[in-house]
Amino acid sequence: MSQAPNTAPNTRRLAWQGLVREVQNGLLTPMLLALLVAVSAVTAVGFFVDRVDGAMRAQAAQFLAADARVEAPGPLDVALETARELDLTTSQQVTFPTVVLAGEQTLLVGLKAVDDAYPLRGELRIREDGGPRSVTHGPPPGEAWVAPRARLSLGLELGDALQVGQSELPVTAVIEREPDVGNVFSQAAPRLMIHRDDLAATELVTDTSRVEHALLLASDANDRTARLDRLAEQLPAEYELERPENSQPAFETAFDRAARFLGLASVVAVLLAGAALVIAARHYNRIQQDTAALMRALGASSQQIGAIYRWRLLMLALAAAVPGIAIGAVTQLLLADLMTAVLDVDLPPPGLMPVALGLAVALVALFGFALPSLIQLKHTPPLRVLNQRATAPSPAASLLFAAGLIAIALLVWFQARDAALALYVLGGLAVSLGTFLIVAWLLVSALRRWPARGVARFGLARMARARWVSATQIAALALGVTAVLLLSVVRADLIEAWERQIPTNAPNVFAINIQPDEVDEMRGFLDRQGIDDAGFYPMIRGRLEASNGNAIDPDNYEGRAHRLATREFNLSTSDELAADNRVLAGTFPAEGFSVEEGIAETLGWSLGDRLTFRVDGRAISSEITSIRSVDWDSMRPNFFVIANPGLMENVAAQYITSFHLPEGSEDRQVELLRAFPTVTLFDVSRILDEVRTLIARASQAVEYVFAFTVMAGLVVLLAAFGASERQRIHDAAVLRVMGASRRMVLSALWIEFLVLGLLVGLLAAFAAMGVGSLLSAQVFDLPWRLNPWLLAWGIGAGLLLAALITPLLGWRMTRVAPAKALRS
Amino acid sequence: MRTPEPLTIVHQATLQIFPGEAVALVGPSGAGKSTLLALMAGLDSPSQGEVVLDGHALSQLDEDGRAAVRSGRVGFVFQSFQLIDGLNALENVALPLELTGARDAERRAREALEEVGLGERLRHLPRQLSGGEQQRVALARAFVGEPAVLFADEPTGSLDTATGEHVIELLFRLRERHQTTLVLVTHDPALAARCDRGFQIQAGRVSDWTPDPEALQAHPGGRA
Repeated sequence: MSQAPNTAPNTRRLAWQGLVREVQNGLLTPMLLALLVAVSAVTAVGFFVDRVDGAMRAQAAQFLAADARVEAPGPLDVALETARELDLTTSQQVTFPTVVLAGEQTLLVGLKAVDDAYPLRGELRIREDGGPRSVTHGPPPGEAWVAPRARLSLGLELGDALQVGQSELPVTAVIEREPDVGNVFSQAAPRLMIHRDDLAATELVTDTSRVEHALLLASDANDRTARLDRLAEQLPAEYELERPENSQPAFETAFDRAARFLGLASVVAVLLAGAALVIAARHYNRIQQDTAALMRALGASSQQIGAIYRWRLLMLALAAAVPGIAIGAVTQLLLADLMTAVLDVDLPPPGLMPVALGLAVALVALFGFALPSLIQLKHTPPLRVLNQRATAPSPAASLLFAAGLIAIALLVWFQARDAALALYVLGGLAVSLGTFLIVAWLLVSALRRWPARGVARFGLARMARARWVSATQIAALALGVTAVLLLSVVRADLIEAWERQIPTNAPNVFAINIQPDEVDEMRGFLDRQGIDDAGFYPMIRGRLEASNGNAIDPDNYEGRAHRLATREFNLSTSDELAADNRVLAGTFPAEGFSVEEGIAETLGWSLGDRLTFRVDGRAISSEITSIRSVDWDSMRPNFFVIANPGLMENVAAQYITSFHLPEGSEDRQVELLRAFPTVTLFDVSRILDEVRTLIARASQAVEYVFAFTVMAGLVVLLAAFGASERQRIHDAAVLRVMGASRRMVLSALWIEFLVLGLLVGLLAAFAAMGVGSLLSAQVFDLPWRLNPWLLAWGIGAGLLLAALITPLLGWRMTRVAPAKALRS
Repeated sequence: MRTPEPLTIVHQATLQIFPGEAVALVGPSGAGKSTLLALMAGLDSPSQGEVVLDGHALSQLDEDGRAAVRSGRVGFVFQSFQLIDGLNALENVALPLELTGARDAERRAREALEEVGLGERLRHLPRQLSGGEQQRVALARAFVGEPAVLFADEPTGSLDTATGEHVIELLFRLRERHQTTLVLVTHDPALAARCDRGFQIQAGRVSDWTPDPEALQAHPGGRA
């Protein structure tokens, strides 16, 4: 037997030939466009999120002034030695509170002594005689730099001398921005920064002093993360390692939410493109059956036919992926441009991951949504060349369903970066689609009994004749309109809710160390200034002594838990739950302690555990009777542990509050400090402003990405009507041959599409309401109000759809003479 | 849903066609001519009986096996031309060669098109060609692989008389030149009379057919 010839090169050539011609004659246009939109959306968002992620990490490093920071209550020799072994750049600093003297004025300051290497990342902004400038070093030996509040409180001028312990140092600059400002509450007083070499001369630090040692670490090596991981493993338990990922939670949360919005927009664009692919592939299957049958008649094996279509799909995927990735890359430039103003650092160049993702999306979408329809072409009976009734078997519903489901799961997983979002989108889409199909079928069935006459009868007859086809078409379009409504109206509502989270008058100044007898006076002071306070809460220092009767042994804890177990807690008392707190378990007001869920998880606490705190020399013991979630973004005073007021009777407490001060009111802060000299203020307006700008820019970015979703919706439209166009042209020709006027044909078409648009709009509006409320509550963690205008928007969108399609389709149906249409 | 009763299209047909013969299958519309052709070409399988094509018992083979028998051995000409819209004339003609893995498909396709007088129309798409030209492309495709057997199903059915005559002339000339066995389905007695032998199909039953001189006189051009 002779060896079978190698047909593979010819198979690929035939696949390519067909691809080129079918793109040229428009047969593959809907599939190509659908893929193009999907790939562009995914890569644009991928590139953008990748770059902003990188920039956020770099910016977070600036907030730490390093790539990592090790803190310990004692000297950091072990960490320093390990860091040197790992070839990490280091900078050492010491911080502690102390009282300084300027003339007759005294002030509690947060002293920070830094070395020459400080800061390892980011820069300081200082104001000197010559004006403000950015520097990448701390004060040189023999000089002192102070925060504006310290300068105001002490009435200092540049050049004035400041008594720091036993040393006298001239103030040569005012620190306007300090990169590693750290946790505002650990900085109990305004900053004073000196050189580490001057520390000994002050004689402030002795062996028994309570100072905090910090070691800043950085590396430019590619394996920086691995080196830092190794360091983390080798550190003793009492050392705490801080990494950039957890240094700016407010910023992180804002960007995380933005990334979710973007992910959602691109997921919906990709899924709509998938719907377009399913429709377009079925149409392509019908058209290609003649070709497949002819090739079978000419001797092609089923394997050859299968290979030709698989190759064609692969080539189509590549043909769409290359320009799609290019469009994505250009779009991300626009998106990135929005963010440069928000981030202090340059956006890093994008990685190659989004390119791989774009290719993967093209392949998964095509092979998941289109291949199941096309693979059956290999079973087209060759007899079809003589008898058109011989058709390829329909693809098994189970195959279509399984392949589609796998593709959807993969695509959502690629994009959503979030299991909850993926689940809700998939569930929402599946439930919506199922509901749409059933309701559309019922509505179309009802149309059959509609006593329409004349032109209306023609228009509605088409819909009623093929109930499942019409129901599928309505369901696909309703899904498209739902997505557009969700991402336009609901998006606007969600962004508004998000912006409401940090309203323009959110508290931006915290005041602590308020004495109990000052509370009423200060409340009155703020009232007179027209400033609303966020309430005054007692703040009681307490050390965790025992848990369930067992004494706390710090050695049993690591990292954050170790730090919490060894330090004093800020406890509070309240019998009223703050608006930004939510009880997750137990009851509030708590009979014992109410603890925040995060700390409970870190320290392994649960409801019913008995905690003992040492407060004012007294042991206060009670059970955990509630666990709360806290919205830390609210900028209101919040506490890890709130005790029943009865437990803390006769305990010395200081109070805390927060309030909003408009920009440029430093003088009011000074006035307040003069009236209440023991009070300490923290200004968090810079972080708030940055988060707010980030939200504004991110919502703009969402709008850009939303354009892809609209485009994907239009491709669904194109695919849906492209598939039925031939049949419509034929039917119109028959009607015209039978004597129907052009006007009559067009009127019937208008009636059909107006009814279809109305049904689509209604279904989409209700779905958008349901999915919108689910997404806002479960995924974005935002309150969401039902927008009654959704109904109007939905119906409007449906009718607009009709108004867009009908004239175009009408023109194509009637421009060809009936005889020619029937012949073709 | 009720399953329709099975319908017998061709009853107990026994016919043998020898290499190099031209055989006509005649009969009125719906008589079963095309069905018989489909069975002979292995495009369909008989519910009973056997078709042996070029030494291969087709009923022993599955769909792919029958396709392998057709590959390179069988050519087709159809009433509706069956050209692929997306491919130009040259690509349409090269298709059967490409499917067999031939490396010189384009050269041979060009020669075949030149043979049917379309050497200047190589890059034209089917829609840019007249009906006659399209059928000539189909003829070039049918002969390009030097098939042992050519099955032609009403090859002039979609053409006007003059064009049809021209196409038939070309078909017979090519068959002569390539020594191809021809099985021609037609309801045109004059055209059938040009073949060496004929079979008539009437209500699915096959019998020998001899030309009727009166009918031939009525249609001297070979077209009904």
